[in-house]
Amino acid sequence: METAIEAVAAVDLDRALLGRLAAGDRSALPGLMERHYRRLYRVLLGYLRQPDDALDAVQETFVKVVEHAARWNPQAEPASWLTRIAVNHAIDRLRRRKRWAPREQPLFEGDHASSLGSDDPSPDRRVYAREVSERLGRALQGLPERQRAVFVLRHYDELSLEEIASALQMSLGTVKSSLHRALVQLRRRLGSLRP
Amino acid sequence: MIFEHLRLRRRVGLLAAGALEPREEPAVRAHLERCPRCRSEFDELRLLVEAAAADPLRAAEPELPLPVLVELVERRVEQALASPRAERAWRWGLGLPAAALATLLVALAVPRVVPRLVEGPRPTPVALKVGADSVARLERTLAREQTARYLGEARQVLVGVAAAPPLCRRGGQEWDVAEEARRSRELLERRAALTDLAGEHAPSAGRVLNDVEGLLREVAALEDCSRTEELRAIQARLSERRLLMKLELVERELAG
Repeated sequence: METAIEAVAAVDLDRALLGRLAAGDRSALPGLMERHYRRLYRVLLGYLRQPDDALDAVQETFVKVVEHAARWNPQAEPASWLTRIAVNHAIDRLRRRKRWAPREQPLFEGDHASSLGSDDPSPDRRVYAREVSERLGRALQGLPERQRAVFVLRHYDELSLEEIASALQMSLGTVKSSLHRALVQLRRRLGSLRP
Repeated sequence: MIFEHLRLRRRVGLLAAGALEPREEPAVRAHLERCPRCRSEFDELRLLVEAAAADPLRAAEPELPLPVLVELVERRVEQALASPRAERAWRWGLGLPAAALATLLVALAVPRVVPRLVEGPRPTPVALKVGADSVARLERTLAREQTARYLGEARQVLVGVAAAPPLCRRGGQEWDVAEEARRSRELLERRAALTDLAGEHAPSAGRVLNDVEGLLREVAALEDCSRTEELRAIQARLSERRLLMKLELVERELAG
């Protein structure tokens, strides 16, 4: 568990790295990526549901971070700013995917299966979790963009509602109602989840 | 009861999501005791939240190691900066004003400088003296540049193998690494010429060169269409040794 001091130090380090990037020092990029690429990959995977797409999106996110670093407001939370870029990119990407190539590949076939970890030792539970994950992915597709983003940030990145509000530049009230609506819609689309 | 239900309904979802403020929780829990409909909805939403928590995607790791991702991002940044859009932005943002300023300076300076050039004394030819030290320094510089170039090319080959090359046309899960294997063979042929020069002036370069040589031999030995496991083995060794990172550092060291 991260202590408050560690959290402050982490934010300071992020600020320093982003500050260097904003000043045109690209040697800050590996450090910034090391600190955030896993988290952003999981957010993007939760949103896009396809590992290849998420991997490409995480690269594009960091390209945008470099391109727009000069516009970063040093008062803003660095992690929220990175998350916002990632989510906006995921939204654009999904729009393009829907517009040009409405294809959905099965998530758990082929080589990607090995990269999806699970701490559950029971094969039955793993199979069940995967089935539910696929159903969840399909149900998420039907959600409005912002509801989907709020749900993913809450349940795949474990952000607090305040952090989600900061990342998506929404009011706290909007985040709360979006999360509630997302849950209710998903439950309707998924039907009963009782095993 | 109806007003209470309407007021607390939205909070039932937040409670299920673990996002309700602690001070609001007792009232919502009390309502759940009294309202079977909300209780049932809460139970279903909890199952949904638990399903999301158990989603294997939450534990998924990126397929590529960090150094490869960094390399790929840096390449994309280079491409983005070199794209016509960036060029246009530069032209309109900085280029045109700079060009206008340069033209103005030339217009102002030329009338003053040209007569002086015309009237001034002709330069006397000076004999060029090059000492042995200068030659040695030049050789060292060339050697460092040559090694840095070699390592840069090796890095590109290794990144090409690690960053999922295209699939072979003949189908199946085999990857087209013909180009990488060919370039590895070429680089291995050039390696011998570097041996004496690199280690002497940049000690860390010698170790990295040896590691790179080992991996290039593996890439050179790959079939044109290689299986995923063979590429994974090379990716794993790259990652274990943090070779791409080291390569970048040595390249910088050599470049001074």
